[in-house]
Amino acid sequence: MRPNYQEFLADAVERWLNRCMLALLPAHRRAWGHALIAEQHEMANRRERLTWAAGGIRMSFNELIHRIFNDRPTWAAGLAFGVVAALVDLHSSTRWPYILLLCVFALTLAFWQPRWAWRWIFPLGLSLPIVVVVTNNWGPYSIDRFDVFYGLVPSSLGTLAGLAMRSLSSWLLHKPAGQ
Amino acid sequence: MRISSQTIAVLQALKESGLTWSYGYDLSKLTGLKSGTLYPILTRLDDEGWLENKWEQSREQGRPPRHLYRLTAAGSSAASKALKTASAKTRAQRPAYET
Repeated sequence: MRPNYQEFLADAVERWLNRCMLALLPAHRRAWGHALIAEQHEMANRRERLTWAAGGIRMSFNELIHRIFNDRPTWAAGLAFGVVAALVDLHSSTRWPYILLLCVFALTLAFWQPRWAWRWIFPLGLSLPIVVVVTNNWGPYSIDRFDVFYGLVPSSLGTLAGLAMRSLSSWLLHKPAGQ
Repeated sequence: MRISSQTIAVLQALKESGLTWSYGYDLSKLTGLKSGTLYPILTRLDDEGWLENKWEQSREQGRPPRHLYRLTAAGSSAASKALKTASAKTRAQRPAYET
C-alpha cells in the first residue's frame, strides 16, 4: 500500500504543535492543554485538527503574555524609575548617576517582585531610548545613537543583585536553628 | 473580569446547556470560536469560579479522557446578568427606526 505522506506530515505537525503548547504552558494550566488535545481525537477532518492544535499555541502565547504583563504596579514602578533615571542622565555630565540609579532601581524591583524578575530590565533599560525619542533630545547620544541602550547592562546587573539578595534574605529568615 | 462578545457567546452556550456537561469541541461548534479563543475564555471563567469541570474517560480505547464543563450556580447568575447587560447594550445601539 502506498504510504500517505500528507497524513503522516499532518500528524507530525499536529504532535509537534501539541508538544510546543504543553511546553509553553505553565504547570497550573497544563491540564487545559491536555483537555484541548483530547478534543482533537473527536475530529475526523485533518485540517480541523491542525487548526485546533494551532489554537493551542495561541492559548499558550496568550497565557505567556498575561503572565508577563499581569503585575501592573511593578511595571508602572519600573517605567517611573526608568524615566527618572533617564531624565537624570540627560541632565548630567557623567554617566555614573544613571548607572547607579538603574542598579539601585533594578535591585529594588527584583527584590520586591522576584518572580520573572528579568521583566524589570526592560522598563528600566528602555526608558532612556523612549524618553530621548519622545522629547527629541538626544543630548550626549547624538554622536552614537545606539549608546542609549547601554542602560540594559546596569539594569541586568541590578536585577541579578536583587535576586541574590532576595535569596540570601529568604535563606537567613528560614534557615534551621543551629546553623 | 472583562466580558467580551466571545465570552458572552460561551456563557450563552453554557447557560443553554443548563446542568448538562459540555465538551470543548461542542462549545466551539456552538459558538463558532476556535480553540485559541475558546480555551483562554474557559480558563478565565474557571479562575473566576464560574465554571466547573471534570474529566470523563473515553468510551473508545486508546483515546485520552475528555474535559467537560458547565456553569456553577455563581457562574449561572453572573452569566444571566452579563447576558442581560449585553442584550441591553445591543438594544441601545440599535437605531430608533429598527425598534
